[in-house]
Amino acid sequence: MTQEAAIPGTISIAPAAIASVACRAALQSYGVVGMASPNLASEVAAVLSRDPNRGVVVTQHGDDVIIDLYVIIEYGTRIATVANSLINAVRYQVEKSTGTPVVQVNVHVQGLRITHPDA
Amino acid sequence: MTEQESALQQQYLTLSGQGFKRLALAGMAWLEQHYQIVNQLNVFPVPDGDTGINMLLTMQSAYAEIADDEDDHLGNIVRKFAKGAVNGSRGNSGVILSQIWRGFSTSLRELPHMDAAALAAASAMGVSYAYDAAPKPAREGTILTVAREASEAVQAALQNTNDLGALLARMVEQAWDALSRTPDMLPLLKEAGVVDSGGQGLTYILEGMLLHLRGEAVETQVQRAAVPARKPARVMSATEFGHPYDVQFLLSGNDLDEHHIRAAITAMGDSAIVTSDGMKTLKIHVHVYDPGQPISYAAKLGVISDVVVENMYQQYLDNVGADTAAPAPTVVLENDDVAVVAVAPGDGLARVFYEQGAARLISGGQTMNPSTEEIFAAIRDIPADKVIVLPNNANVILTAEQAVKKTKGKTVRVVKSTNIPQGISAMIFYANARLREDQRKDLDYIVTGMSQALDHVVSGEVTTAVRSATLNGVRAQVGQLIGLLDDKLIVAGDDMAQVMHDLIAHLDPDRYELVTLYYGAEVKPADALALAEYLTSSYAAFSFEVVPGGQPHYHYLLSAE
Repeated sequence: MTQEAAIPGTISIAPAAIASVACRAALQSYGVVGMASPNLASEVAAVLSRDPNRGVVVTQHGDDVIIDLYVIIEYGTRIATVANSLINAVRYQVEKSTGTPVVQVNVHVQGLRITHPDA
Repeated sequence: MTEQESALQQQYLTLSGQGFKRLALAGMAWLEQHYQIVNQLNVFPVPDGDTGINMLLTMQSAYAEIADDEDDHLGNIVRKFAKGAVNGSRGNSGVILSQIWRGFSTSLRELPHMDAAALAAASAMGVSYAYDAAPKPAREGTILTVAREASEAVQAALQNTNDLGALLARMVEQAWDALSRTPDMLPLLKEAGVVDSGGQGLTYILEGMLLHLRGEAVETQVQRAAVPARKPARVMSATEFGHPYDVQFLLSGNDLDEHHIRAAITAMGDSAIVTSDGMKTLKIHVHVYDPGQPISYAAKLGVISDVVVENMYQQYLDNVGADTAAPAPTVVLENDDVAVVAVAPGDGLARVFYEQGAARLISGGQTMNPSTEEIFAAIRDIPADKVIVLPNNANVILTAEQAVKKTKGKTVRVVKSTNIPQGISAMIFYANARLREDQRKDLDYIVTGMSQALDHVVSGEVTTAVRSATLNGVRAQVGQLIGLLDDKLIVAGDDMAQVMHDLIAHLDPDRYELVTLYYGAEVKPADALALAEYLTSSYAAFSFEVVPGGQPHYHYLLSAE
């Protein structure tokens, strides 16, 4: 048993840091083929500015972290299942690497990429 | 299976719709027999222990689409099968599996039968569909790698044979080979000492199909996967129980031959322990049918003292036998009381939680996580507006939180207990708070107290290693007993007493005094009591308590307070 050193101080994690962990996890989640911005105007801005955390919005209310993901999913997969796995993966990775509890992950499917249309 | 005689051609040159149906059933049945193994491998991308069940549910959904379909047109059958897989896909590996079937079916859609070339083309298209939905670049060392290599093996073998059986055999062989190399491709797997779970699931499906082609029956046991049944609590007869008397005494004398005495005592019963104080005294402990035998024997060799004889079978009946009824809540909730919903495996543990005032127990834990729905229903059904959920397992916390989110009109909080001892420690706080009128209705106060109680307890587990691994500098072989403290691997060994002894050695006697052992469904009460006695004789600083837990998988859970 180790006792953590009780040196007073606080650790704060910026929403942008959480967003980059979330973005990485999202892009590695099966069935997610891309991120999209919440609206068209910011889509253009994001492309121009090469926003590395495009499609991820992190909101903090006190200690609570809420993550909104705007994604493009592969057509032909079951969207609900892909979204559920995505929620689990993002929550797991963010909680594991930042230690911050995530109270909500919302997935907004902004589009489908159709590689293989139905026969 | 009623149709044991395969409708496949003798040389398996072609496969019809009904032939595919039988192969699919065999693949599903073989996975069904192994899905728990697959669950235990699951460490990537999220270690929630459900890859096997997710793949099985996906296969079941796919098969349900064709189960009653007598169409012999291969393209039609495979298309329906793939549609069922997509619609019923569960979890990551289920989605990937559904994409493999989707590509497979697209390639075959016009064909009434398939031959070797069609199988090769369809496998390749299945793999291509699965890779297309994967993040770029696709991570190797997963189910995708196993599927791809199996498919490539078929292309290569096409030059030598057009027998579907031979091609499937090549696929299975290559799948196992690729699977064995997944730890070299994905460091996370190597660290945990496992192969990829999704790849393992796919390999079982292919292997089941091959076994069927070779005429070996692959039985499906149940149509839907059920949570593994728990052993019913049952009172053992005196015969089953074995040696009822626990005998202990000290023997002093000159020239006592310790080895000789140990051999003689061991021959009289079981759980024999003979220890020397290094001077002229031996401490003797043994379980026997006749307590007179060891005492008379020793009395001839020297002077005996501190004789203790106990009837363990009577103790067992007192402790366990009286409690054979199914566990039930004991708490009476008054208006505005705070209620607790807890998750625990095993009747014995359920009883412990009920005794401390839990309003509802949900069966579950490692490898059989309860669903959001079960927890949600429990919260909804108990007659209280303020509810605390105790998940008692790291993998259940998320599910509990989702159930809380779903709940409307009640105030629900999750106290994040990651194991059973923590949960019990939190329950003891709850039970004490219920005794005070000013506290029993105060949700915030109780949640804070229960959360703090989590840190006051050290929890340990002794179980059997399901795979070989080196963790925390400890090397454990598959099948060995392993001891963990606070989820860290501490010891590995073959002897229960030794493992437990070494585990207890890691507890700080200045901080803890009471060690509670919860013995599992597979452990005899007599053995648990004997173990506790042995530990008591080794560690004077701790007092040991033995409680029937009835949990599966874990021989012992322990808590130190």
